Amino acid sequence: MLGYALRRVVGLVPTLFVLVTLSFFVIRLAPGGPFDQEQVLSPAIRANLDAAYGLDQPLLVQYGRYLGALVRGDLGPSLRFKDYRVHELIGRGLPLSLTIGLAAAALAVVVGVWLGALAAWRPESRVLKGLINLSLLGVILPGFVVGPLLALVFGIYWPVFRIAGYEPGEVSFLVLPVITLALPVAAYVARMMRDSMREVLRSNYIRTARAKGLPARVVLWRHALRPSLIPVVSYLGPAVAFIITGSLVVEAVFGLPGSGRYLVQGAIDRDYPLVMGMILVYGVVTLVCNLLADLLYGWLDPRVRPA
Amino acid sequence: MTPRIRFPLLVLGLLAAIALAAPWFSSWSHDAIDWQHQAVPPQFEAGHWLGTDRLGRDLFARGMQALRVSLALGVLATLISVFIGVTWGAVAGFAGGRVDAAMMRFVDIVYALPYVFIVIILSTLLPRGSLAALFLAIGAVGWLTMARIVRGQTLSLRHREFVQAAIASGVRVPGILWRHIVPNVSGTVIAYATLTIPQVILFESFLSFLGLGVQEPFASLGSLINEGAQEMESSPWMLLVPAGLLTAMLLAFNALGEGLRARLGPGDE
Amino acid sequence: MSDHRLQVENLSVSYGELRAVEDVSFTLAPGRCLGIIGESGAGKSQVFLALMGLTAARATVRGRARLGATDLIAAGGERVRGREVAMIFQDPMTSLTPHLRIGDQIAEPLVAHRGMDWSDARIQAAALLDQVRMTDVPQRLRQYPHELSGGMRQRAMIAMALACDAKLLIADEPTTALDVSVQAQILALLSELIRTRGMGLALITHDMGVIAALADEVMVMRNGRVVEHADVARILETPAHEYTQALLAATPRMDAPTPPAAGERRPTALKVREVSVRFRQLLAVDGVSFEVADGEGLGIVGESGSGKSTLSRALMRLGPMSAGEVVWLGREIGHLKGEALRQLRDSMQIVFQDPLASLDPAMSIAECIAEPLRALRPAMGAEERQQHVTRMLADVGLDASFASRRSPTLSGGQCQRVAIARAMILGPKLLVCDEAVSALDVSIQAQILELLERIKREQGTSLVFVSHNLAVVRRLCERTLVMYLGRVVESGPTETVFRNPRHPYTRLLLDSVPRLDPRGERERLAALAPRGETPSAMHRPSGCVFQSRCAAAQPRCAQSSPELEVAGEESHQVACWRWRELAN
Repeated sequence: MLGYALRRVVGLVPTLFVLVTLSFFVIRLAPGGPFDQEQVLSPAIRANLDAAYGLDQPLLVQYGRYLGALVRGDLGPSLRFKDYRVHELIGRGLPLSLTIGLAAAALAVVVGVWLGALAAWRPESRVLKGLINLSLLGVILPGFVVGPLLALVFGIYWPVFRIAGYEPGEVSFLVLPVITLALPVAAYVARMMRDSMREVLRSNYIRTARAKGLPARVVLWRHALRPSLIPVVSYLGPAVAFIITGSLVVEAVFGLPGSGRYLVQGAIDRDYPLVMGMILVYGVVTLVCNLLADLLYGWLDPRVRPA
Repeated sequence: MTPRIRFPLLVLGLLAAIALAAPWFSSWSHDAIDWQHQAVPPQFEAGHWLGTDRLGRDLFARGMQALRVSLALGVLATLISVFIGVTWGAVAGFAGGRVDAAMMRFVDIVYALPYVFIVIILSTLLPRGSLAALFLAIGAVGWLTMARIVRGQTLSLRHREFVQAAIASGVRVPGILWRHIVPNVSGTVIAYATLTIPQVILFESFLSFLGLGVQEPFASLGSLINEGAQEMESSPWMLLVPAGLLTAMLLAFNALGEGLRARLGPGDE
Repeated sequence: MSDHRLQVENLSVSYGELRAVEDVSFTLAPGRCLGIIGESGAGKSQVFLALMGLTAARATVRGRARLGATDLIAAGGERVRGREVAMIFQDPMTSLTPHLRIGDQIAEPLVAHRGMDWSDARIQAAALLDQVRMTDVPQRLRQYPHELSGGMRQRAMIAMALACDAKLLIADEPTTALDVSVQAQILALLSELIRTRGMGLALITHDMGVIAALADEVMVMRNGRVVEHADVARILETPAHEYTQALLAATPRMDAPTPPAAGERRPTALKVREVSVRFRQLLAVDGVSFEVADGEGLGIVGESGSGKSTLSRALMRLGPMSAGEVVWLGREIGHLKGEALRQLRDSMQIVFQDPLASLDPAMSIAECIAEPLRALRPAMGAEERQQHVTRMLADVGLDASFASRRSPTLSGGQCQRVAIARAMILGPKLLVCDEAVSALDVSIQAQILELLERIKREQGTSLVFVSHNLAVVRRLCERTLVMYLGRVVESGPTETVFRNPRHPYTRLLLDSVPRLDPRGERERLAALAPRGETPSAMHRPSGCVFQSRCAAAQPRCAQSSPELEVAGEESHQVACWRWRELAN
């Protein structure tokens, strides 16, 4: 099992390579360059700037240089924020983004699985049915709608949590953003879990477990839970990645100094190294999430484990 | 048609009808500025049934225009997704073996890319404000799930005895695809297409929120929500109107899709 | 021992308007076996699910049932489930929890009901596996269900059921999903367990042979009611009720007459030479050769892993073929592709095992039957096609009103008739039947066999009949091939192969089929002691494919694989190094 995991990790490298290469060339396809937005510059100054950042070299040379620097762990300078290196910018905001992302992911999984399992176990319960239907709203409404609404209700009308900005260590600032981020995935997971468990509860081996006279609790948790999680786990890989990379929305809505804003802003500014850095970070996060989901899948279903 | 299908269909029909007819019975156009009534809440006098925004533009007119854009976008982009997705999935599922593995690997890789990455690509490549390019770009990404679903269904149909029997009866491959595979996946395709529409609309709203979607003076529900969120403390209707429209439309599409899926989806035979 | 007698009075189970079980009464004493026989929908399982309290929530259960002093209906069965009363089910693969180890699943009831701790319970589980004659017990304890074979899984299920010393075991179609040689082992095991534990056994089945092998008394059910209840000898020899008589008449028998071999030699229609099918490391079919004459029926029998289905697909050119030749009507067809292959299709057709899956649910019956005409007779007009379809429907015994219906509204037997109509519409000279009647109830099975017989007789169609059911093969086929792990081990006229089997495997197969003779059947099966199960095709034994299970194996058998040689009459062939010695 360990060998299998290691092999999968090594297998990530080619995919990352493809990702980096693809991104590198695609963003340069866009019209415009990094220095267009500033005041109109004289051609001479433009030429100097381009040369200073190596932008006058042929594309392949730039690519080669970038890869070389990458291997040494150097993400390059930001073209927009000229006093900073890319890793400094990202490093400043990344811890916060990851915290929010991971907290939201954990919340979504725990609440979703628990709610879904209960709803399948007690199909008659009106409360549960109502909750699951309500969760539909969570699936449909985008974060940038839910965020402001929650801020309105819990930040302004009933000021329970703090909104707008962030003070290190003050968890109160993070509650609403985390809930906003977790909501769509929690809702989706709950429904998926409920449907999956409903199917599992109809299967022959659950009938056998009941025929053995096992208490209902044991049947649910020991026999039904793991197979029910299988389709959920397949979804979790992309879902957790979605949450972690999607933190940029709640950061924007709640004014949190995370690293998310660098991605879009960097693309608009044509700040190539910054965008590449963000893509790399997000790419790694996504691939790691998918990998973990795959490994978890193997634990849930002995049939897919390498013999 | 069960009530689960009829009801959402009715709601959608109503919304679409109002949105399409709005230019005829609203006194304001979507970009006309009413200097006397800037940022006013919903009222009857000046004909601003849903209020105005910060610049004095009628929110009903803007909302309806945004609705038109979203509906058109949703339906057209979904049609593109369906076309590409069904073809890709059916070919992969039917061919099997290496062809299938290669085709689905491609889908997996694109699927695994963080969707924000896709956003970046779109944002950098699209000439700003071009609606057509927007449709195309969104449709080109939405086919992935459809391809997966169709491929899964085709794969299981491929080895069913009635397909084998058709081959044994001398039916050629195009005949099998057309007479056996397509009719048996069409139910699922319709159901999932209806569920794709709200996802497309959401995606465009997200782009607008980032400033990348529909450009001024046109509005989409996403850009209206973005503007409204900025004013929400002083003028909550500026947020609630577009949010309400978006919610209603998405709920209706989802309900319709779920209803169709219950009726037509896999496992219904 | 009246404390463990099962007494059921006027039991009814209904789902709203639908009466699944109506007014059923019986008693079952410890140490006895009650067989419950009926076709699908008879309600046999529902009776016992109700006793266990396992019916769906919306079922209404009425009546009285007592096990010793315990009232089963009132208590909802929960007090006794897994303790005094245990139940095992038909499909051991789906009936065992896939992610828990076998040992833990067996230990579980001990922990739950007896309060044992896990380590003690696992030790007890090992003892239980010994009692059910499982091999390699320490290894099995740690394995998962998918790593075990069918027979081993069923043994594990039995061990699980007996963990808390149940006094009543309910077995719902326990051997239906198993190979016939494995079935014999499980039946012998059950017989032994009833005796040694003084347990009562309620045996639900659709197979008269299983009844004959184990039951002391028999209850015949139909549409939720008991139509006859008597001891087994009476039921099998002089059944009183006409339904029982019909069931017995429809059951294919091992002593039924086989079709006589044709007098003069008919021309060879199909010739198969050294055909092999290999999937990566798996050799599914290994050098098979045979011939089928015009209008002749050839049976291909074998258990799971024998390669018979793969072979039938290969010769129909529906599946891959790695080596060898197939000569049909004088033409070599193994390498044909594209249009040439397509044109061939009107002379050879196939009927599959699963009747419902054989028909496209989106097409009408008429369209299904007409499909071969549309594909291979494009010049034919719609009117003419319609006439052909109507004629075929009548030929297979279906009313013309079926034409506009769709397959989900038809029963299994009706679907199979449609499949046969579709196959025969072009008047093919070869019909391959791949387990075509295995999924049907016994009475329907008999009707379909009659239909096939008639087709063979009236149209002179050659038949290749693939089946695991030896008795069915007897009826239709003049000649029979026996396959094991991809090789032909014996072939010849059906009568000869059945009466005078020369290969140890053929003998084992024939002996494993339960006879409809209650006297001595139990002892006969117990004395059989067949060993093990067919190994996986990925781990083929060296030399002779059967040597790992053969009681007569010698070192020579593991060294090289025997070829088919003539044994006795000219057309009777066997592949065994020792057939001469074993014949005496």
